[in-house]
Amino acid sequence: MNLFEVSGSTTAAFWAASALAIGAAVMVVTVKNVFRASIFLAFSFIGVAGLYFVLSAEFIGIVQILVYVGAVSVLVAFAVMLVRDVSGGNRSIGKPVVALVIAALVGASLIFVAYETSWQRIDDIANADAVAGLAGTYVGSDAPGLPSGESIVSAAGADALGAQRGVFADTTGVIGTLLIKDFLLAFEIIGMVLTAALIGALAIMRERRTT
Amino acid sequence: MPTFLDNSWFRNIYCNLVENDSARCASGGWFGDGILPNNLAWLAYTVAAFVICFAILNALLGSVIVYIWAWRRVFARFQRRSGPNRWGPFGMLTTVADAIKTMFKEDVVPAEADRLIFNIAPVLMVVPVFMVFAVIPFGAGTFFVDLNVGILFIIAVTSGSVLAVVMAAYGSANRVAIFSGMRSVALLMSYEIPMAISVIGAVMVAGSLSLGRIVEAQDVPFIIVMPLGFLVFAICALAESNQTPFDIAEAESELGSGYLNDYSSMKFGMFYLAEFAAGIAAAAIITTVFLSGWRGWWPIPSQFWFFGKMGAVLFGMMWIRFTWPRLRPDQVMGLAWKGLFELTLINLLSTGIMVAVFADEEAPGDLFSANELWIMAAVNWVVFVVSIWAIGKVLAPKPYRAAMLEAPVQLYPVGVDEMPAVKAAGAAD
Repeated sequence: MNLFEVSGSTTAAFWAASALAIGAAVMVVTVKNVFRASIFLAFSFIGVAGLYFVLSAEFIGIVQILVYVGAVSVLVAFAVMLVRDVSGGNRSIGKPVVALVIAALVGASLIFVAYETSWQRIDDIANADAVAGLAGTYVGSDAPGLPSGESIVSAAGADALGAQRGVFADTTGVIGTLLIKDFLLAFEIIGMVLTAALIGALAIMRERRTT
Repeated sequence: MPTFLDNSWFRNIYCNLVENDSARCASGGWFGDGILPNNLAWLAYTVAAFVICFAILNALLGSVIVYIWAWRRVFARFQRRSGPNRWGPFGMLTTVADAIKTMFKEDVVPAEADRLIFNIAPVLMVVPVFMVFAVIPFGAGTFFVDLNVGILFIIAVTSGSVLAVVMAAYGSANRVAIFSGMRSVALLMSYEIPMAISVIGAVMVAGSLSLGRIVEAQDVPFIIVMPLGFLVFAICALAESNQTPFDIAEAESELGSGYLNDYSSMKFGMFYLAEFAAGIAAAAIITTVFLSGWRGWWPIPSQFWFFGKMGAVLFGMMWIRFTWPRLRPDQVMGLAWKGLFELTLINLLSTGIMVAVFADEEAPGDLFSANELWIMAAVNWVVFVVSIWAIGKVLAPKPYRAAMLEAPVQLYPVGVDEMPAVKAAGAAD
């Protein structure tokens, strides 16, 4: 789906969210005060959530706000308060070449993945829906990982407002079905790993008996 | 499937600006018959957003003024005094005078404070509370937006106030404020978990996260169908809006006013506003999710039903606030993790089993009928009574051991390093 073919308001929302995400991220690494950096990190997370909303993945966007803004950034802020010199603590490590190489590698791998991903399928779904103008006739049986017979496409394909909003509707239901049907094992294993991590943290933090 | 813009005030304003015809606006492209010329859809979007923001903001500010007045009057009745009664009829203008006074006070910023963080925190505190009202249906067809992740949106947005508390606590560079900020964060994060899980019961029965759909599903109000979910949600809502049994963060007798300590003038006013608006928001959410929202009987319009129920919930919240003492921080945490968390899981389990039993395989999108809801209610009330009794047994304070009380008092012998061992009463020599 070409971004510039959809309406102006979506484009404006995209640029606003991107500007917030990137601008706040730049501030995180440039600002000297570590606490302020952690607050800017929270704003960057909000910008990323905005990008998810633009892509009509409301569920992921909401969870991004709930987990990253509501919990993770607060934990980061508390961890930062333990730093002795908060106002001048964000120092350079003094190895610009190493940092540049690592950053270049990460950037290159991201670009590589972006080029290798088959975006064609998403385009096909959008086009099929727009051309047919039918209500949710696209059956995701040929899309791997989706339960066959489940419609993942907006029922309001021909609806101009629906089209402006994006291709997919009700991502929440599809994600829920995938989590507890197709990827149940992985889901449960992640739950076990997190529980183990939590118990481990408690075991480390527990006060030792001095006797 | 209601989409993002279907049949809301937002869409009506937007469509009138773009096309002057809501039906055509929904069905096709934009051919500037409306107020704005062609190709200015983004401007219509922005204007509609501003109109909505203006409406929410002013309605909420006005209702907070009224709520504070009612709060003071009711508080006075509970304490057998007359309350504010000089300015205007029944003292109604007292809050207005208070608001004006707050604005004109001197704005003091502590010398050591991190000015940027200190100044942004009150604003960030107010924003999430106001955003909640964007998704609440106030009456039949009277809503701004019906997001299809509505209830999740509310939970996510309100979690943003934790960040504002941390910023206020750190920004004022004050030990008491940091203590209170830590308490507040622990409280908010602990109560968010049972709150989110207690809503899942309602979401399962309604089959959707959209608040409009949840109201639609309540042929029997969910307070009757799942009393356990309602109880936990109401307690969590009280805690999240920092009401008295849970106001360990402000705790005047221990921490002054906690993270509000160094705020003055309108910055303090913003926190005050956020606290009372959060109370109203909590009442609105409880009304929508558990008291069947705007639904009622015929001659009275749906909006009146909504605000009537909301007023009743607010009165209940005031009642708790005026008559209960403040809990200790460890009691507050213990209640969340040892009591409410288990209760929500029990509610989730019993409701989930019944949803699975009654679910119609042929028509997955269908709502449950009133009879099915009544059967669920019958089972859930039994579960409610039994689980409350059991959790009460587990959480009840242990009685003092008789041995401690009856232990013989022994004097500390002078010149001896060790305290002689205390014999338990009745133990053989």
